[in-house]
Amino acid sequence: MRPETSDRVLNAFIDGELSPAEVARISVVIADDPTLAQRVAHLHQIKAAVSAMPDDLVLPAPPMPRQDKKGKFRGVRALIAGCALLLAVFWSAPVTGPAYQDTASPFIGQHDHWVSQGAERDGVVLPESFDWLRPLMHASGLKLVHYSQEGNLQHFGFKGVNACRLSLFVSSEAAAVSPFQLSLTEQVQHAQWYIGTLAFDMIARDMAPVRFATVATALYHGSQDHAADEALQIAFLQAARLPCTA
Amino acid sequence: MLDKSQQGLMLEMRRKLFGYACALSRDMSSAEDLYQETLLRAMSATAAPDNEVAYRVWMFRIMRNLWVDGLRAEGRLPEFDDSTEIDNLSANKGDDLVVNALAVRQAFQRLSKAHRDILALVDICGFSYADAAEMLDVPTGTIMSRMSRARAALTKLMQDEIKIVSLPLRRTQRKLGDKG
Repeated sequence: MRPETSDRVLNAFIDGELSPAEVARISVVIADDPTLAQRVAHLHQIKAAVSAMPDDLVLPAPPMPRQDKKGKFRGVRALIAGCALLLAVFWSAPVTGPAYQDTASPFIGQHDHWVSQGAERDGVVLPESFDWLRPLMHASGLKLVHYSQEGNLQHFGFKGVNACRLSLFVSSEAAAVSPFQLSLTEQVQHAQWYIGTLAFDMIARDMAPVRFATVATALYHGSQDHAADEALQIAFLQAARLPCTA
Repeated sequence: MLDKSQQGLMLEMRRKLFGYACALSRDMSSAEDLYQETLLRAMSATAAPDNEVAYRVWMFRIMRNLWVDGLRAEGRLPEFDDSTEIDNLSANKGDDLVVNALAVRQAFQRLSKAHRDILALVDICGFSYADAAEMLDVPTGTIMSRMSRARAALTKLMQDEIKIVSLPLRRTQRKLGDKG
């Protein structure tokens, strides 16, 4: 049954207020409905523009503390303490990621292995046949830092500015044909689709479900028709950037 | 008096606090006053929540209460219209257009106080619907409806102003570049 796609639900979708199962159901509908995809892209853009409004603000000076005779230097002490705390926050150690969880997808193990090995470097070049990935992944805020090929399987590893890591596995000689499929939980996100003789599997951990779904939908469309709706997909991806939680 | 951890949290959230103050106020001077008064109230409080989420809600609630108190004194309290059917608001959704950030900012300032409040709580302050519901003392479903109405109203204002512009397609840019 087609899930409800009212304005209320679509707004909750882009605000990350739906359960992973609901996000997956709606993402599948969006993938096959260009009108709905445009509606969601529009909401994403509105949200991104409103969210970015404070970025340009010049913060006013902090208020002067109310002094009494006994606490003449309380404000200075508070300011120093505040600065020290700010430095402490800045230098605090990163939080470690969640423990490995085996699941049905054979690609999750490969993704985790790549992340744990830290096999990343700058300047990784995309194979020419995957050049269509470049603008889409750039717009998503994820950078190619790993590429490997073993037999028929190609692995593209992407990295975000913080903890985000995303793997795209492409295997050839796919025998089956299936629609776009998404499996989203809080810990693991997996998308799968087939185009011709190619099978695409996209894996991430701890990525906001709506961001993962947006990237997966854009790549699904990009892999079908490399030139179709590129500007719209790019706007869509730029608006859906959310930090990973790991 | 705030402890060190709470002071650190306050430092982290000050941009969002000021953003919320600007969203609620129609001019920068009022926003600065609201921001300063909120920080002073928080710093002079005898007790504050230990939990980080609760502390954030507490800080923004101080600001919102100050704002509401000011409006009440002027007899201009914000009113939410929770009775309007959402479908009636979304007849023209602007789906075929790529929005311009400046147009959004201008339209935002023309929104009603109630719409600015709910959009700022979720989009600027980053509160979940549940947190916003707690702050406004309404059910989460009401927040869901208000967000939908507020974004529909924002879109309508932008269309009224005819300030939505389409971004040029990358392919068009490339072609122009090739010719140049």
